[in-house]
Amino acid sequence: MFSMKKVAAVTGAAAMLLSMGACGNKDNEAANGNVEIKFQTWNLKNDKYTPYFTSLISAYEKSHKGVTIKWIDQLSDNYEEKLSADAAANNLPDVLDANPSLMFGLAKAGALMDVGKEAPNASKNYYPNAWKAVTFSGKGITTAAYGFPWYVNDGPMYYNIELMKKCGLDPDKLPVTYDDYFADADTMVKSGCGAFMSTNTASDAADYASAGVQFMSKDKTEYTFNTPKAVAHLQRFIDLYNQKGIPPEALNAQWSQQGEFFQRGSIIAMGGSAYSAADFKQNSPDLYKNLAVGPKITDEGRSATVSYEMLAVNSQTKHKKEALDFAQFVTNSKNQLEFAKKSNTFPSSAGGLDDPYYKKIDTSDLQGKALAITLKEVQTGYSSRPPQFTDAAGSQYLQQQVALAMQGKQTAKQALDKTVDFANKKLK
Amino acid sequence: MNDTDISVGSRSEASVSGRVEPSMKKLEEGKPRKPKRSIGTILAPYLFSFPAFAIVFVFVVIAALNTFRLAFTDSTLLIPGKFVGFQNFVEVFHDEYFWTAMLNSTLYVVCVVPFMVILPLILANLVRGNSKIMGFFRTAFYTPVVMSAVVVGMIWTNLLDSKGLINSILETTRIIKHPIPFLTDRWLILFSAMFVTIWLGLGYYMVIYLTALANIDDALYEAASLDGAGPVRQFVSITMPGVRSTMVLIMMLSTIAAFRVFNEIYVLTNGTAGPGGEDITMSMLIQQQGTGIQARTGYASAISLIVLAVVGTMLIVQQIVQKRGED
Repeated sequence: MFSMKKVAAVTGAAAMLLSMGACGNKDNEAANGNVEIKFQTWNLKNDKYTPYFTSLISAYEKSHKGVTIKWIDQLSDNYEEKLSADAAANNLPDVLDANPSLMFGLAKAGALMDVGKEAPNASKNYYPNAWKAVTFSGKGITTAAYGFPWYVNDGPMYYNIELMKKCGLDPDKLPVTYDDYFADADTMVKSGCGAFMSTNTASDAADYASAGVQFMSKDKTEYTFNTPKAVAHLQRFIDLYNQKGIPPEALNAQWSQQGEFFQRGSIIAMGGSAYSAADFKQNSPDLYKNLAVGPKITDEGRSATVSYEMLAVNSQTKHKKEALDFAQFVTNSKNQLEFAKKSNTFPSSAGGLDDPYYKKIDTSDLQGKALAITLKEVQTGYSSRPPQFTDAAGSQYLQQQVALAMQGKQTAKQALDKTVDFANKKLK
Repeated sequence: MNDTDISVGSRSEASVSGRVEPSMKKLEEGKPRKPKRSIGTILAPYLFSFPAFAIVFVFVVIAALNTFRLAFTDSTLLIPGKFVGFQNFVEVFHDEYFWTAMLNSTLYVVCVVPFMVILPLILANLVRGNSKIMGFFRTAFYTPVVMSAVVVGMIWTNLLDSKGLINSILETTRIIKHPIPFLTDRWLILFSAMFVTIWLGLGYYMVIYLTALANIDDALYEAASLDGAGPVRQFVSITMPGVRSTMVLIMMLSTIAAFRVFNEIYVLTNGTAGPGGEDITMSMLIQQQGTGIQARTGYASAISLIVLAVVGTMLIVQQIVQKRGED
């Protein structure tokens, strides 16, 4: 005879096993036979953007009977790890949001659809520079557009007016070129005001491209940023570091740390986004009143730091037609404009920048000035960072080698030669 | 009485009865009868332990075997590679960051382990007892153990930064003219991280020592006290020998943890492994190579196997030295 205790024990164990088995039992399709599209965004589910996406999805579902959109949002941190885990498990969402650097690895592994081939007329719906940013080429990858361009951003340089005055600089005459920038840095160092110019150490592709250095060959088969011009450019930063014009912490700081330096009044300038002004206004109102904005430092007369976000379609999606259609719906001119206005970013859809909203930007306050400067950058600038120059494939190595050069452990030429050699080996 | 005694007893009883049984049937009847067990009773322990075994099998055994397999391929996370023999190992030994990581991790073991073995023992000796004040100190020392790596990172970054609390105090009191580069100098980052590791681990190992100390007979201390032994002599002659096996255990645990250090360096350097990556450790190297969309899983697996071999060798050497010491 089974005692009640034993029956309960065996039932409990069996239930545990069954529940474990159920963990892996998934069915993406809605029970009623509808097509379900998984749409993944990157850190966009919050009070500011949730109403927009809810309304967007609702509008799409209403006009596309039988299609359900399941919106997933991933947190900002570890997004790459999340994408790579999903890709390795062949579990990528149908439509996903990321920047070209993250998308490149997925495209190279065949995880993303060639949308130029599947939607041959789509390219004309976007600005040429935006379409170029989502078109990947080079070693080990078939040249193709691996997603639809979404929102675009860049940003001005923010300056601490009080600190500038303290260091003998004129806030009404902000630097535009690198000559201006280093002249101001020289004045600042000589003043002995104890501040630093910025955390910029010339450890990013854009730092070289904006100084007129060709970062990569046109066919994307090799890196070319170890030219005498690039070495001379890096040397200027090394000299500034040695004159204590760059904080030592900049050598192992991530991009996000420059905001901390700026907010506590350690550095005079920082590169930001158009929406940084709104953040300053909300989080540091005193600092906001004490800020000036100017264009990004460049010798080329145009910004090299335009960043594009893109929506890609999973190459393994079971609902190719619906996924392609939804991705184009999200990135169409009307929806891009609405999102861009909410987020202080810019549309990549053709004609989007001609919208009356961008013709009448109120430049009487800092936010408006930042938006106006960024608009010009987006209109004329480009993305200089090749998508294949990822953290693992050279970007982090460049930062490390530059740091060693700043510390005097190697020359500027050695730092760039080593990085070019390292990054070229990763191109296969 | 053991099993042998029972069988002998059974035979004796048969002899006493005066009937020598020739047939097997009779012999079987004479054996003690096993109680009947239901199928549920037999299966229950296996069913209960199956989930744990399954988890260990999938996430430890299969993962370890897969790491071993991957180490000999040029796999990336998204592209299955092909067999490349020892190519990954050859590349590892030519990787400048591998040798930097090996040096840093080894230094970590050499510098941290002695403190991890001795300091918690001294601490445990000081806070043993049942008084409320001792309870407070035990809790206080254990608190860092339950802190998340992010919190620890924020605390120590704010303390050690060039404009952090420590530098500010030293500059205000005019002990130093320029800030000490705790977070920007290669060696100071490493030693700062070691300090954080010791600070974090003290409470954990202290608790293990407290358990071991509870097993030492108080009479030994009383006798030593009567013989005129002071606290230091008692500590060296009674406490340390009394917790010798625990010291060996902690030495092994802290050696493994120190060689695989990751969090402390990561949070103090914002994940960059210090200026120029000169503070990279073995675990950080594995993380850098083995994560992300372009992860080189084959290469990272080769480094993992080397770490396994090094840690294994360290433990074997420790065991040999320990045995010789006992002999």
